[in-house]
Amino acid sequence: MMDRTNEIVNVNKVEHWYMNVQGDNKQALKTVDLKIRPGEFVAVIGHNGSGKSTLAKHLNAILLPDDGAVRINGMDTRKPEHLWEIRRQVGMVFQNPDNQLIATLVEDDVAFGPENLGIEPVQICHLVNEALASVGMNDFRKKAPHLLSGGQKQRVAIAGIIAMKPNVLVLDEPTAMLDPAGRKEVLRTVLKLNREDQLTVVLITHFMEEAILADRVVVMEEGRIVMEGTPRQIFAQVEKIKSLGLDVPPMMELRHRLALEGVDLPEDILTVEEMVVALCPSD
Amino acid sequence: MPIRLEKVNYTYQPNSPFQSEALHDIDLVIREGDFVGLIGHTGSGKSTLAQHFNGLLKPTGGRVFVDDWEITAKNAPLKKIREKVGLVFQYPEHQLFEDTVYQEIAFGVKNLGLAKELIEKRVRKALEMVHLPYEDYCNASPFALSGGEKRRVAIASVLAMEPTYLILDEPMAGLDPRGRREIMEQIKELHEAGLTVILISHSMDDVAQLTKRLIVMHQGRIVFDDDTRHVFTHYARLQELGLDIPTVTKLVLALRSKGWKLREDIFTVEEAKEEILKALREESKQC
Repeated sequence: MMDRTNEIVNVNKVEHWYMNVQGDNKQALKTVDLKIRPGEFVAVIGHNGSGKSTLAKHLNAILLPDDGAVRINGMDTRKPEHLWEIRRQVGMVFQNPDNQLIATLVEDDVAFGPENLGIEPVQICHLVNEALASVGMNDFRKKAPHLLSGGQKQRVAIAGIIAMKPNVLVLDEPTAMLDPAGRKEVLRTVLKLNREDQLTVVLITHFMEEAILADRVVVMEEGRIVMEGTPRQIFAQVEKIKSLGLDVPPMMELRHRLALEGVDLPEDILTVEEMVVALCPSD
Repeated sequence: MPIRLEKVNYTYQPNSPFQSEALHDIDLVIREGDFVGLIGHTGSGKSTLAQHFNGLLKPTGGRVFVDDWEITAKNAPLKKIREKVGLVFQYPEHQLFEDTVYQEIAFGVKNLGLAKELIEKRVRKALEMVHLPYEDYCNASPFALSGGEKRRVAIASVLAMEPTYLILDEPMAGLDPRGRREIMEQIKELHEAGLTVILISHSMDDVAQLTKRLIVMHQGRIVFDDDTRHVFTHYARLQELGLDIPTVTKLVLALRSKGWKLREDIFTVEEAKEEILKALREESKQC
């Protein structure tokens, strides 16, 4: 039976166990519920070991739930007959750009996915063109991937997924190994894909300045979702975020400290521009 | 005794079609006790420069001295120099290879030809310095540790050599916020314990919080070498070089442009709070 819901991702009461190197059974996900609408941009934050990556790997059946269910467009990830379609619909980009590029030319690398889907060569050409254009890497199609910068490599990795016409893009700390310029490049690309092409995005990140760009922030701790809401709702809870070992965007932190000194400012200031407006109301 | 660079030039693959100049006429003195930030865009030459401090790279022009030894001299005691100048690479945990944390940290020390008891003493001390209790960790596999712990073991293996200078290349990269804070605290403590620290970073916020002196590199040259606070007042030039200034500094600049009377050398949230409160109290703002 297909789910008649409009969620593209439906994580329902998922439990996941694994065995650690000492041979003990550990629970990585505890009754996790998460529904994601088409076109939504969800950021997942939490410190190392909180279960973020485990959750991400459930979204395209790299990992399967021990209990509960994950459905992508109504397809249960535990049903082997859905596997190929789920992997096409949900693409993943990982942290290390050097681990995900395999071909000797950028365009071959992007073509790898569609080739495996058995698509006609002419059509593949078209898909590769479109994908490279959408991440702004068309000029690099004949270049060798290992000569690109970190940010460029990540954009090629994203293009390789876009070429498979996915519905959901899952990124697991895609900017962790990049310099500030590369980080901006990748983020700009992700934002464009989400806002202009209505691609659903799940972004796992340690950088709060990336999380504030999302429609919704999900905070994980010890395998559970402990907070969920818009970036403004989440980061306004400065003390709670800090007690979870996470950072608060600097303007939120400043607002919080000023509030403790009796300066009254709106609770949901995220950016420098908003802080300037709040401090200079006459403008 | 300082590390001293005189007119250092470095060219990768000289006399080949791939020739590229990475360092250009670098003059630099790092004194004992310094806490120096080294910052620059990718490809600005900062890692190349750092590899000159312990003779991993030798200049293609100019001279490098560590204490009184000249690295470029024919009979330079490179082993001694590398003992004195410890270099922690980017993602140092990728270099872990031993079966136990003890063996990992002891590896370098063994090569110094020390007696067994002395080796153990050094491993203990190094683990203590990075706050990993010896009894809990000495027999653990380095591969079973968390990312932050692995990195601390890698740093400990350099500390066990008892260096005078410690160079860290992007020590916080790729860690979660908690891991970053731990490593930052650690580095601060190591400097307080007497080590000379050179911190290579992309993050203006990190160097702003930690270092006293800041060297900014661009296209193989030193653009700024000054008091960290002072360097940040050149925000326009820094942004031109593709470097970000701390978020808080951006706010202060925006408010100043609206007529607020604030100091411009502010880069932590706490300082900004104090300045804004002061300005509000004096009602000197003219929005």
